[in-house]
Amino acid sequence: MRRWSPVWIAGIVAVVLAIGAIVWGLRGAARLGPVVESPGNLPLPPGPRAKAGQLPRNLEFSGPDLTQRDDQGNPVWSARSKGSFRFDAPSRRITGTDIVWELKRGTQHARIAARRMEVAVATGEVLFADGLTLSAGPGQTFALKQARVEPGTWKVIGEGSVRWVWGRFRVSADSLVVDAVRKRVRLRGDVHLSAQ
Amino acid sequence: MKRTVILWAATVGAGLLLALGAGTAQQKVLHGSVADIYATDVEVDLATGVATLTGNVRVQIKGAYDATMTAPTIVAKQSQEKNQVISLDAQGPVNLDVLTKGADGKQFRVTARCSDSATFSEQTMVAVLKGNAHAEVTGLPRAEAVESARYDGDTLTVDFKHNKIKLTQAHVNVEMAPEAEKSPAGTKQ
Repeated sequence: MRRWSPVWIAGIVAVVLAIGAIVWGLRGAARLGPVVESPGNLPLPPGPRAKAGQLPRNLEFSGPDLTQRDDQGNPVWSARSKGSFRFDAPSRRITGTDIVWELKRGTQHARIAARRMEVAVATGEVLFADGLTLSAGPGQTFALKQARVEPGTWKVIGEGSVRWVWGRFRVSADSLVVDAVRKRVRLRGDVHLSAQ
Repeated sequence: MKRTVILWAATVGAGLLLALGAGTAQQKVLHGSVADIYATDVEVDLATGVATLTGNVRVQIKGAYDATMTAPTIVAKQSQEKNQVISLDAQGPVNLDVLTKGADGKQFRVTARCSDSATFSEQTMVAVLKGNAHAEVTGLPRAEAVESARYDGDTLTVDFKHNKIKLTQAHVNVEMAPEAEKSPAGTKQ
């Protein structure tokens, strides 16, 4: 019977160890999952790292863009950030800075520029704040402090020093609701229309 | 001593005694004027340019003359070009207060109200107040001849372009100052 030489035994052990190391490494990587990163592959701030499986359904990152799709895979809205997006797993919120958000759903179109955006993953609600302007078409540009987009109806509900130029009227109000479907704007609070 | 003339009629047309500015200025009540509209709730139909204002609505216009309309609800319609308000439709009770600015220094105050509804058209410059309409036209102390008239009727039509008031089912009460009595124009019945 042929005896194994020490060289052969050492070689086999080395190969087994190498295979084990590779398998262990792959399993570890699979357990961690793909890391959700901010656009431009900027490093995420310290904190819990999210798995791809924790992202809301139909929400995806692609470079500096964040896109919400419907069940058929059609884009409902997309946001582009000059800064970064961040998914915070514990609070299940995606935050973005210096963003331009666009709703494109059939004939509906709305555009929001804001310094801060937040997506509540649980509800699908999108919130905006700081330096916010909303445009729903020609002559329909609003400035206000904060707004949220209601999922499903896609109404924009905003408040805080609402300003709007409607024809020859400069309009101010405490709050507003813009219905992009019905092409209606509702203003509440101390509403003042001023024409020169 | 003042003389009082009382008149009942089915329809009455009367000079408004307004001393309005002449020329195109009087044709620009909203367009070319300063307009302020206050409300607590406004709904705008972007497709039609119609705004429905509710909650202590107050429309103030300053131009050829100062006018204020108040009502619980007013519907304002903008032109297609959105450069002027074509019409105001108010649901009662409606109050309309107008202070004229005559080139000759004469001033008159028109205070009108109605219980049902009122409309104002910028194109025709006619305000129509319906339902228990009442108007008082008063010459202010600065006017040379202090006159006042009270108009009551079912429907009150105020024509700002031609300085006329028209009433249906009317009751008119006119008080004229002694100076006005001397003028043949002041004795209208």
